[in-house]
Amino acid sequence: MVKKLFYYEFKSYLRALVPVNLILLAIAVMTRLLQLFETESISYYLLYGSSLSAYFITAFVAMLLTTITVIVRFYKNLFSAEGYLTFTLPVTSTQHILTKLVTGVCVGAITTVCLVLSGMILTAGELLVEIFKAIGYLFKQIFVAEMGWHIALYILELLLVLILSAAYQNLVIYACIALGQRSSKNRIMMAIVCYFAYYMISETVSTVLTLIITTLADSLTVLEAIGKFFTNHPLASIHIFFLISIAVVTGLGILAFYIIKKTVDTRLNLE
Amino acid sequence: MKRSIRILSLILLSALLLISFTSCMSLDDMKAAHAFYDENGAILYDGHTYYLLPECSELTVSEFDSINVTETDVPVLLSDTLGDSYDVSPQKIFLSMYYRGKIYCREDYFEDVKNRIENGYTMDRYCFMATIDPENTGDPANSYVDYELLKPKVASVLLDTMEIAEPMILPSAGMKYEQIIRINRCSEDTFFQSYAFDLRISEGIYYVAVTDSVQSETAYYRISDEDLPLIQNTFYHAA
Repeated sequence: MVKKLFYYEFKSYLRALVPVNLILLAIAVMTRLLQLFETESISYYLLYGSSLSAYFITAFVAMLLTTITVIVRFYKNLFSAEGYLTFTLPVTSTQHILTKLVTGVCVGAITTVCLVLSGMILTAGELLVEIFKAIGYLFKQIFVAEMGWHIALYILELLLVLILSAAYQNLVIYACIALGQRSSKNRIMMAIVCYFAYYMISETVSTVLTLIITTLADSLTVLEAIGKFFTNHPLASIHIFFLISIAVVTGLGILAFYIIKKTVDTRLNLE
Repeated sequence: MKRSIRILSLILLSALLLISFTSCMSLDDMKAAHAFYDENGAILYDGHTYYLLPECSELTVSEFDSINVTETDVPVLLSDTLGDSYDVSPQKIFLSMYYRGKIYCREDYFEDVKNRIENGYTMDRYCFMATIDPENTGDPANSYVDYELLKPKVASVLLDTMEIAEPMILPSAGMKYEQIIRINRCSEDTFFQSYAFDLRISEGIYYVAVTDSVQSETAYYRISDEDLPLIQNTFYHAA
């Protein structure tokens, strides 16, 4: 049953997102083809500039549409009239939430891949070759020379952080929607208010923590010891930073998941 | 239907393959401005080798363009970030990095210039900085700034003015002028220069100006009306 759930989720997302991604790729091809007629005339620059602007606008629209589609699909499928049908399926609330989460992250990844692909089409030819040469050179000189075998682990850790962060961002939005559902009126407005409150709290907490660390760094022995460790072991420090990020994002993600599950299980109030 | 899809796919593939073999103008410009250090520290640029000259304070080079010089394995997109910036002189004879006092000379001029730095050179001509338009198009995009030799007759008019005219001694900031043209003593090829005097234009009057930095005074020698047309025709394109 869960497999079918995934199938219909992806089908619904792709129906909405495939056209805009195809348009993005088409504009990238068109803009690149325009470069075959490159001259120093004003008319060429106007045409090329317009095409490039259209490309960036389409890229922005693709990212925005992906985010909006993920949010709207979650809300409509679980908390609107569609929810009556959704919750009749022989699937637990955990499976529902996880399906939405996994498909949302995958669709975001697909859009990102399309963006990268369109960027490669835009620079296809000698320019793309030079870009790869520059990336390879920087990688070899700065990372491999300085970090050695640690670089492979850093890449894995970074990928994990990116995937967990993407999932966490979706979970935060889902949790705000779930909290908004607890209100009897103006549920969408309450969800937006919840998101703003989350944003303000997270910014305040990070600012306060930064202030504490920077002002008390020299006076607190613990902070001083941590600072000395980071200075003497820079490579290990990066691993610790990644691991702490993974732990924090996972912990907060589990909290958000719990909020969503609790709301769906006990406080569901469909329209 | 299948046939038309195949033909369309073939056309699209050909278009994409064609794109792979093309560059773009900005990348071509970056490649043209990218030079390399060889294993001996010389610079390889534009099909020539440039060697480092001994230091010489009177070796004067004007700037026509700039390039980035890197090691041979640095990609062109990183050349301006990781490379050293050098100014290129007109005719690409010299590459200079003034703030480090380095001037490189093209292989066909190197021995001669090095010899003159080490064994002495004569500066028996005069020059000034002028805007050169080699094709006389009148388009600023086609012109560049370089040192131009003064004709012997013009130089002698200026020098005679200093001999004959009655000087007006003023404090160095004592006269407002619309234009100041620096005249340098130089070698025949203008490679070696040292400051001689100025030509200053104030309210349409031309003066030869000699500054005494110790006294903070400038002596102004007015150029006579009969010599004025020659001076105006010579310096109309001074930079």
